[in-house]
Amino acid sequence: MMDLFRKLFSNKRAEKSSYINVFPSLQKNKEYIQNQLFHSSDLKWRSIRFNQLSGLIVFFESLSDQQRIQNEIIRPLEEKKEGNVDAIIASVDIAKKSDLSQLPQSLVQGNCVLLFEGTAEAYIVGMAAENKRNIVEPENEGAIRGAHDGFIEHLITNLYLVRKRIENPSLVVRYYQVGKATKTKLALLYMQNLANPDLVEEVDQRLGSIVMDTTISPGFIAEMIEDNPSSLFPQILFTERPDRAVAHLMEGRVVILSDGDATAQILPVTFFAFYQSPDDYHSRWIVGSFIRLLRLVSFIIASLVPALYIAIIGFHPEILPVNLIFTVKSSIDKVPFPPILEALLMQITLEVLREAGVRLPSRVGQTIGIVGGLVIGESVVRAGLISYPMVIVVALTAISSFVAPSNEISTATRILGFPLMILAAMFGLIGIMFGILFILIHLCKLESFGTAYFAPVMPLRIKDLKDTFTRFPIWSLNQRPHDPHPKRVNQERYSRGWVHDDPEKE
Amino acid sequence: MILKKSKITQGQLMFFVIQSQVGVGILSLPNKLQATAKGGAWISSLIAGLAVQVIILILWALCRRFPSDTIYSFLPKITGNFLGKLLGFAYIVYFLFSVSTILSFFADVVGKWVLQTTPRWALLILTLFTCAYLAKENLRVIARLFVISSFTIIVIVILSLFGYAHTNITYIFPIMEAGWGEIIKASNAALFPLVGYEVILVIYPFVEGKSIGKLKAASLGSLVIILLYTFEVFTSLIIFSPEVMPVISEPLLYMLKGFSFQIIQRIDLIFLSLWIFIISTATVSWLYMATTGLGHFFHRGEHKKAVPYAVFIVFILAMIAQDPAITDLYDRMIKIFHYTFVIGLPLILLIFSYLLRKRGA
Repeated sequence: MMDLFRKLFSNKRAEKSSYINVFPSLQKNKEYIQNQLFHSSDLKWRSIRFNQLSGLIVFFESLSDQQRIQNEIIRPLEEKKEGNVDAIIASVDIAKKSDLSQLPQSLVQGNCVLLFEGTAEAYIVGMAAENKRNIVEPENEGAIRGAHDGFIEHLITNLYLVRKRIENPSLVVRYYQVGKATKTKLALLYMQNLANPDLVEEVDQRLGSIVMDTTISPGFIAEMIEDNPSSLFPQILFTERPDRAVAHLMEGRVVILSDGDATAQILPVTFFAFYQSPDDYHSRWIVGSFIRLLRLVSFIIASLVPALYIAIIGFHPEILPVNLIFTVKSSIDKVPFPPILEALLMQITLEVLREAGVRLPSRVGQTIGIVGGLVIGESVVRAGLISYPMVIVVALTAISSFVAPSNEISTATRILGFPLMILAAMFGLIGIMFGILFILIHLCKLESFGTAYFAPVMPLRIKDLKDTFTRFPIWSLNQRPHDPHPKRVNQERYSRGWVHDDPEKE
Repeated sequence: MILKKSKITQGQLMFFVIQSQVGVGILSLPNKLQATAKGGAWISSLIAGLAVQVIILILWALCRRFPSDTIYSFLPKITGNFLGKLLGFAYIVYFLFSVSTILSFFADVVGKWVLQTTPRWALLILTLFTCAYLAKENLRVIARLFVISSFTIIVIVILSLFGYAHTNITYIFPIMEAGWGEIIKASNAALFPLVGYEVILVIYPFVEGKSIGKLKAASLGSLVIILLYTFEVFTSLIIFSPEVMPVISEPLLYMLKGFSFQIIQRIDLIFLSLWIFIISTATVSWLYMATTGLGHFFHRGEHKKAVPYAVFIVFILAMIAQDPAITDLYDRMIKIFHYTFVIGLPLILLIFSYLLRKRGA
């Protein structure tokens, strides 16, 4: 409590004392800026004469575009010699400041500062250099059909990608600055006519209340604003695909983009959003439905199959037909470990292999394939340490978990398997059922930004189920999903106008 | 007074009633009814259902007079502060007792059918831990889960439909073998497996909408359960001959054990696994009723704080009930409790509140 007071107090004091007028003396100003920036080596200045006054252009060579400074500031000023600075400088972004203490901050943002002898004002001209990579398809979120562009680390480009897709005045962008030290720029995007105002207000408030020094990955922001940070399930959808972000915007959700990161954060989302992929909507609806169902089934496989195997082998082998039991048992009898130990060993090996695969450069990556596939898969069984069925079970689990279109949920699924395995080893099928019940209760409890996480199943809303487990034809999805509580639920009544408009068809 | 967050819809009320009612009884009911009513056992369960509807009407009429009060807060308004609080505590005891009876029966069945060597305490802890995790949530979250877990009932019906491959309809004849007197006597026994509808005493004020809609929802929920029970009793009656019935205590499980699919040989295990959902939801429902009371008296309405020790009491009670003699005692006590707290007392209270013209704001 005392600390808090002290902090508040010191903050106020710092603010009060911070205002300094720009000195009329050029030398003094220069000294002040240099001292404030600790004589950093990449701080450059160039003197200039204008209106018979000696002036100074200050900028960071690492941050500002020197070509532009030359073309847009120095050349016009040298040519005209006299006149109004505002009119002569050919730049979009120009401002006058009389507060000297603000100059270092605008310098580190890539601006260029213009000072004149005898003038107590400074011009700040936006001259930030733009070094950005090309727009490419995100590697970890590929799609077969549809758009192949992805977000990059440049906020303005990302905004462009979204705005280009929604050419609508209702799309609103709000900027935030997070991180006391790093001053990371965030952009909050939403559709004014769709997004629930309460939701926008809540997100706005939470973003505004973030207090921290450093903001690096989007995970930082996600952890700062999500409702249940200790849950295993991700509650904010990360994506690098603009089409995915746009689709969610049009459902009345909110997107957060951050400068310096290619990931968009979509919220609030439900569990099922993690299993939807833009590909579903590009293929025919029956195919799309089939594939989506497959993904959800693979979620169940990935989290349940090892546990089921352990329960059946350890507790209820009689549930299987006799022939099958003999086949499985003959392989297991040679193994010295109980099934739970086998499963844990194999699962952990798998996780290690996966992690190694991510870290290794692709040229060495092949080694992992050989080590993983041959040594661990084949030899471990030959040596009699692990049984064949267990290898199959673990392999199936791994493959199923990677089906999920979102990496966050795929990892969560595999971790979910561990407690279920332990329960299965202790209580058999009964244990698994309690585990499932526990997970269901947890999912039922989770709410993010006022939206139930497991909607539309819990709470049940039959209409929204059309686009949950399956994907109904797009023309039958006349309502937006209800879970983000959009302002307008109905989208349109008849998408296929010709079916109803054509009287001669009768 | 009641937060928007803890309000539930009438549809959710229906599922709440359903989930509170289906419990352990479904397994042993056919056996119990057949013992007295013979071939007319299914009629007994229908009659019991009718009686339940009447009781629901009484409970509803009582709750309707106090639209924003749970039983714990309207009892003192009718009977005066001291007696009202005493009765409130009696209800809490009744609810806690019911939970432990359900759980001890559950532990018995699971111990007999699935986990023969697992210690009882381990099973109880697992169950109670899971249930407490849900019971400490607000009503809306609980209702959400209840809606979803009701789908298990459909699966259970489908599983029992497989039994119709080996039926013999003549087993139920003569229907009137035992006579009306016995059938009605049996329906008395069928009242106990149907308990759970008294949940409306506690959750009535949390339901949105008009009182008549609430009555409809509660009645519909109990109707679904009565039909389910009657269906299961009927199925058991035409599958097992009258001679076999008395020896098998859980006819449904025996029936399912008898047949098998291509890859799954033991359907009864699948059934029991699904049954866990039903047991847990019933447990949660009773726990919620009890803890709401405890919360009302000790924690200024925060039922969450009462959950840990309520669960502990239930655990102790369920651990005691291992001996058949004690189980029997529990059974008899539950019967008395049930008559007094669900039928007798509400009726008296209703009459009193009419006579004294007491009603809530």
